[in-house]
Amino acid sequence: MNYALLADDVLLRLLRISDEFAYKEIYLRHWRKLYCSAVSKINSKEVAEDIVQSVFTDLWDRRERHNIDSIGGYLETAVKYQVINYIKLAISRRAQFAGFNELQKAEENPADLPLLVRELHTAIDKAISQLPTKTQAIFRLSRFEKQSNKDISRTMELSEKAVEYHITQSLKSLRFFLKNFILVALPLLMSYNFHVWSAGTP
Amino acid sequence: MNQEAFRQLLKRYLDNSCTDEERQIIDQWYELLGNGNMSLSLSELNEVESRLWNKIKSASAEKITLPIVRTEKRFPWKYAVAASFLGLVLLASIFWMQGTGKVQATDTLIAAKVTEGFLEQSNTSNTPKSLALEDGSTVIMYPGSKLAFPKQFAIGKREVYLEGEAFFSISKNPNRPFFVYKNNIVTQVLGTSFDIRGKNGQVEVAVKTGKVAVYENKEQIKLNDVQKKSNGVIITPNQKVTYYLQERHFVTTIVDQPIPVPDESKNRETHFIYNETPLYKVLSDLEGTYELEIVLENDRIKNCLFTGDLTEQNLFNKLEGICLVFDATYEIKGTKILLKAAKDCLEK
Repeated sequence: MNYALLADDVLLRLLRISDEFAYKEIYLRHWRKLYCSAVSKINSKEVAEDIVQSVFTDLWDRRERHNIDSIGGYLETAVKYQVINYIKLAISRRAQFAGFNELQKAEENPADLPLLVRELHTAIDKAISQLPTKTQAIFRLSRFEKQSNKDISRTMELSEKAVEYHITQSLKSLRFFLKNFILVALPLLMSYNFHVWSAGTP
Repeated sequence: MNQEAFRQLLKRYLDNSCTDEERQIIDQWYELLGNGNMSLSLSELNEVESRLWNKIKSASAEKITLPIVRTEKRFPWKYAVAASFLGLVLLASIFWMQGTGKVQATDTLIAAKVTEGFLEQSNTSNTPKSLALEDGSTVIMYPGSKLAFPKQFAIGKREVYLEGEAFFSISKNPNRPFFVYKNNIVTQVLGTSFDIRGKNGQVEVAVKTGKVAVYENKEQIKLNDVQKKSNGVIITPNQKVTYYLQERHFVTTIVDQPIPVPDESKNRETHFIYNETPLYKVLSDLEGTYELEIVLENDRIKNCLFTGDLTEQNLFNKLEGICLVFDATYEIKGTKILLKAAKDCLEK
């Protein structure tokens, strides 16, 4: 039987009865996208590999109890939690590296959270508003509403290639405008030493 | 930016203790995160693919034994054995009610098979009971059911005899087709998933995925030469066949509630949003999704433009939506859908 021909939901049911072939097929289908997205977000192939590994190991360990509707969405969210956790650790570690003393810590008061949220919000909105109107719309559909390029190309009456182009352009430009916020996490100083954190069901 | 506050924000996100607004902002930030340019070569990715799989295998609490082999053209023998233990193909759920009249009850068949050395299992309790067969298939027997099966299946085929209702999980093995005998009907698993139900004097088989053959059992019923040649039907997804026990007659049609056939290639449309789209294109999306044939009675509305969102409706409501726009009607002819338009495209 060729597992590559099975639909995701069939694979999920087979996974529940510990079918290793189904598990492997799920891995083959999804690992690359997860890995590439993790690498691009944290800029480390080693860490990305560890994250993908722990997400899949965790999936196997909970295979009999899983209650997953969409395997793609599940894995993506699991990786997302791990990436965010890694970044969180990176920030505290960088603070240690940089020799932040208690005084500086006190200055950075966590009570500033609402302020930070507002700050981020404004920055993202502002960055997006710099884009041409059409690009803005395409970007929102793609990144925030998670529509496929195909769907967007239909609603916007554009070729898929054009949609892709708009998205690449907007990411480039947004990353430029948001540099201060999205580069915060790059683990430039981090020696690799990080405990893989189990994602739980997101 | 305040790093400590940001760290707190991420922590709250992970703990699930943040507000909706905070969640949204982190989601958006996450989407933007990344350097965009990736320098991963294909050969590097292939290397990572197998290395990562090996790591996953050894890290999993319970051993996974499969090596990474991307395409197995010939299913290696040892995998075939493994696969048969793992139990594949799902959902062959079989329900039958007693036929009326002269139809031979499977009961006597089962008794006969038992004298030939078949094993017999009955479920006299009032809860379903699971039974493992030698080939890795499992049967969930519903209360009041009875099954005759060999200790060891024959080399070329696997046969079981059922009385009552059961749910079959059949391990796929193309060299050993699986047959379920019930009354004078044989159901042969050719593909993947299907349902069998029964009303008085009828047996109904509906296919979800793959293919199922349903035919009269020539050992049960005398067939003349013509009948031998044209005995039974093969049905494909979203089709069903009803067999009338008395009339010994098969009628194929479309299931009451067609569902999208699971997509194997992943290229299929899952959204049905159209903007000035020619009707033939809309219909071909539907045909692809439900694997059913839709025939236009004539070409007059073939190129008419359709605008609308049919994503949420079931197949028949989708068709009704289309008919409403073009002043058309549809009917089900056997396993096909016939669309009839009274007029040409309406002027807009």
